[in-house]
Amino acid sequence: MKTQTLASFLLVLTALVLLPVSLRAQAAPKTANIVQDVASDGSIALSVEMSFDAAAWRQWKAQVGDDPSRLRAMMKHQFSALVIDDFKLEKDDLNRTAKLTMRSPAGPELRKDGRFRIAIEKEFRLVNNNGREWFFSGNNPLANNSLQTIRIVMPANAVGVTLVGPGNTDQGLIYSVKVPAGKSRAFVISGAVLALMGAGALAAGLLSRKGSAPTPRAAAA
Amino acid sequence: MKTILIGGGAAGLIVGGVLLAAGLAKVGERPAKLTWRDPEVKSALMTFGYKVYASPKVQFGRHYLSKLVFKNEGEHPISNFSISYKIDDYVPWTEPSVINQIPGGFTFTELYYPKLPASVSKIRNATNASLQVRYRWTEEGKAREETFSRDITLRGVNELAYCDLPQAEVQSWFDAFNASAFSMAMVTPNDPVVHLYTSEITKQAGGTTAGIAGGAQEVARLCANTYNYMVRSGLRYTGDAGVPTNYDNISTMVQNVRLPRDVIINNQGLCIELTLLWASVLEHLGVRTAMILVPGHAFVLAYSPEQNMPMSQGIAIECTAITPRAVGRETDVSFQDAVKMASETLQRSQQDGRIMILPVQDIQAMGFTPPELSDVDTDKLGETLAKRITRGNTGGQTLVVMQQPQNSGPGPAPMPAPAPVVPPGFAPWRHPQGHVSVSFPADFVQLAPSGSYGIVVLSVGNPATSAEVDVMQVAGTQNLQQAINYVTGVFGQMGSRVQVTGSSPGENGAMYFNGMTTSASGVARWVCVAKAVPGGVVLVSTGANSNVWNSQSAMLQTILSTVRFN
Repeated sequence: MKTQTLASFLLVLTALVLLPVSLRAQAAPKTANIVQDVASDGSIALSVEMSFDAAAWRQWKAQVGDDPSRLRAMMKHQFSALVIDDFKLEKDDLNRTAKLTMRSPAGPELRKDGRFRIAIEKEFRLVNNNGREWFFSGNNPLANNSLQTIRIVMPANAVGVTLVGPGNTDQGLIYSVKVPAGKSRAFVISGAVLALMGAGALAAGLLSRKGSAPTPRAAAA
Repeated sequence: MKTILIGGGAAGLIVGGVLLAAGLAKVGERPAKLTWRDPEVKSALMTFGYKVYASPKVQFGRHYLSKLVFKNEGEHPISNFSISYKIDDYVPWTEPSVINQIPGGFTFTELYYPKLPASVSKIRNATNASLQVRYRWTEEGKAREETFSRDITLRGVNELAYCDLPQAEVQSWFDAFNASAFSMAMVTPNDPVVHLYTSEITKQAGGTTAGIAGGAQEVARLCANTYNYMVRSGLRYTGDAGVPTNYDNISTMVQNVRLPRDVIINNQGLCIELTLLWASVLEHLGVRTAMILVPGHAFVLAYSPEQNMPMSQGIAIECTAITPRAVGRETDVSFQDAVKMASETLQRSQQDGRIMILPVQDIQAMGFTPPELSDVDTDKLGETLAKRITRGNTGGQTLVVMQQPQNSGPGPAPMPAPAPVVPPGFAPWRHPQGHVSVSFPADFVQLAPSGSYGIVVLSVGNPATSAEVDVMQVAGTQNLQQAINYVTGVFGQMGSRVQVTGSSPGENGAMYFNGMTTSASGVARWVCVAKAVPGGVVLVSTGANSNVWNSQSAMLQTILSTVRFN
């Protein structure tokens, strides 16, 4: 559920659900590009870049953009099921673009089978992937059907990434994480190798002492 | 050479053994360690909405009871994590939610959506309960367990809290009523009591096809018949604005809102209660409805998109018009006039911008579903309803003007108002129930309609000088301080900060208060006199902006000197 909430959050983040319906369409972005950078510790860095037409930019700024603390407070309230930290908003008046960034320390859902799941709203369809990065795109019905893209960057150590339920309400990416060898594992391996080599050398030394022929001096004695 | 081999081999064996032992003992790695942030537990639940709290899908899952954020601070995994909850006798220990393994460094949240039993809807008064949380896990081979408990309040089934936004974030009227969607869980079209009531209406109307194929005309006829039935059966409007309440970091208006079945049984209701009754009746008959919420008031909108009657062409109905005095009339109000009044309010509110339209079916589909209700003796209720029709049947006509004799309704007759004191150039005013009279300069104009914010009876003033006089009525208390606190809360919800700076006793139990109000339009000073009256407290306040206070205070003092309580 939490990961589904996160997916919904991305959908509504650009849709200004805090506003009366009549204003949403007027202030909706023309495009929105969302990047979810997933770390192996379960945290997600989110960034949402939006571009606006002139009228929508004015509305968006009046309703939301010029009061980022309010935006953050309302988002935290509406999405209190999530944990959202490090909220930042940057605006570029010249190009009528805005970029929201934030971090969620508890992103993917940890499933019973030990794998992880990242939910993706059914409105977004898979466009492409290169194993590490997964690209989705769709029209956001909550934001005047504006075109939005989502790029999900999987953890570097993610393995077996699979898209499940494409186009359905349970659409999501499922993956496992390859746990890197810790210090203890290095100790065990190097210790075992060293101990084996030492044992081999010791045995060789002892055997060569036992099995060697007596010297002439020893024979004379 | 042999010595080197033996020496080197022995050294390698020893070092290797040490490394192997260190590795197996996981020396140098942080052990698994579960940590958690301070638990977040909501301290009050509205019991009529118990189904809302059970669903993680409603409003992005924000109606959880508790939220815990856990982290494995170590590098080693934690295994067999499970968490379980209990709420006194209402919810036994829940089936543990299990996570088999939590990797090192991983953070996750656990949210609890309690599945409260239907019996909580029998709770009439706020009841304390205790949430217990227990979580178990294994770290570094050791089984661990932690438990904690928090006190929570299960509100009475009729208590509706309008806001769940932290007080510091409340900016506007919309914010102060941001939780109004909960009220849609009080629309109960499938309640057998509503069913019975609806049957009586359709019986009087000679049946209806409004929900099937009757078209807009039939919807209008049904609404008119419902209205006429309510008038004929003596259904009355009563006023009660609610009480400002603080919990956690939230300040909200909590109103005692009876479910439609209680309104039917008691045959009286607040504006919101009558609206919920209307919505339940019409939804039961297949007509779609929306509750229109504006500052201090609520009414219903009936529509039927399936029959070419979209919401924009719906019929707005002033539900309180069944009691003429509630809408400033002395004689019965026709259905046509009730529609006209609501349409005007709707239009004014749309221009004002402070309006919430809550479509019943849409909001219930989001998960704000009504509670399961206990059985009632419908036979007995049916007899009671039949006895209520004491006035002429209108024969199911549309837009009928009802003729009702004065004071024939079930309410007590108003007291005669005290004789007003009228200085030259002043106009007298009497409270509709005779509680108080006051005079004010004849050039004062109405600043807000009666019924605004649920407490205003009269609001007049001179916009040019900012001088004004307001008469307010707070129902449900006889305590003057409570009443002034309540008024302070109401204005606080509207974005004004009211400070009471002093008080002094007046004659015959009256009390004078003075203070300042800071709002977007500046700082105003005021003096108010309050007195307990039957059913509540009436407050008469005079004030003006602080920058004109000196020039206006004599006139305001004169206004106060004309106040006469019954």
